[in-house]
Amino acid sequence: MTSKGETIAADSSAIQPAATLELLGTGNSLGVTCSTLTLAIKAALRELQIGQILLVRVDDPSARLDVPAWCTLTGNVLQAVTEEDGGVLRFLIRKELKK
Amino acid sequence: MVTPEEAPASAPATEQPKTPTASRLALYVSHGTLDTAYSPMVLATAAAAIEMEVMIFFTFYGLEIIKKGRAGHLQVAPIANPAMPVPVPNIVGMLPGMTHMATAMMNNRMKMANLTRLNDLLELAVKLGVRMVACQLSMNTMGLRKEDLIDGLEFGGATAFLEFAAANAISLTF
Repeated sequence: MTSKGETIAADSSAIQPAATLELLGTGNSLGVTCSTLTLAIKAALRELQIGQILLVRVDDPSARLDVPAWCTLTGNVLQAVTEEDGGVLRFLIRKELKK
Repeated sequence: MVTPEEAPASAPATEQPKTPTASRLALYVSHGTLDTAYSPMVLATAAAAIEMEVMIFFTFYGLEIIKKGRAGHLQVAPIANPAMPVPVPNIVGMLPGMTHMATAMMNNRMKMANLTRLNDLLELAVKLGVRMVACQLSMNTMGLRKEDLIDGLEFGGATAFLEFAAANAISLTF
């Protein structure tokens, strides 16, 4: 779901990511959030070519709003959002030219 | 008086240039005392009443306002607050009981002014569709979980706030 409530393609199984970014908390430490999260996505996407897809696995609740917002603001395309059991969110982001 | 032949061929005299109007109100709330909590909530409900889209981003001490059961118990300290209605020397304001007294006095004045109670303002805001976003990073910092906060909240970070505030919004910080 985007921040506006639209559902993005739930079936992400066909999409092959070129790279995976894992931003998960471990044990007592809480997950990566806010600008640490978005800067990590930015850095990971810089390594990809236009059209390639990045899979981001994140367990921070604010990612639900922040990642779609980041994509909208930077012009990268959020292809799919799914949730694993245990609350980990999966975002598939396609790198695009910044408009 | 200008005759029709002399009048310049421009826009008719009655047309005024339109002032661009913001359709959104973005509030960044980082304080949580009795005096600082009301301004954003009153503004938010006023904006919702004129059908603006509103987002309130509660961060740092702003989380105090949206803690479960806390809104009715916020306090105001008379220390270092020379603008208080009844100014008190700081050395007196430090004494035990003075914060309680200042809080009671402020609450009394608000009651006299028919200022809607903060709990009701929060409920009203949610009902009117004001987006109330709790800052996840601040929650992690203060050791708060979703269960510790009131219902009706979203959980976001700076990017969520920036996306909202970037588009045609009045942005204010409290």
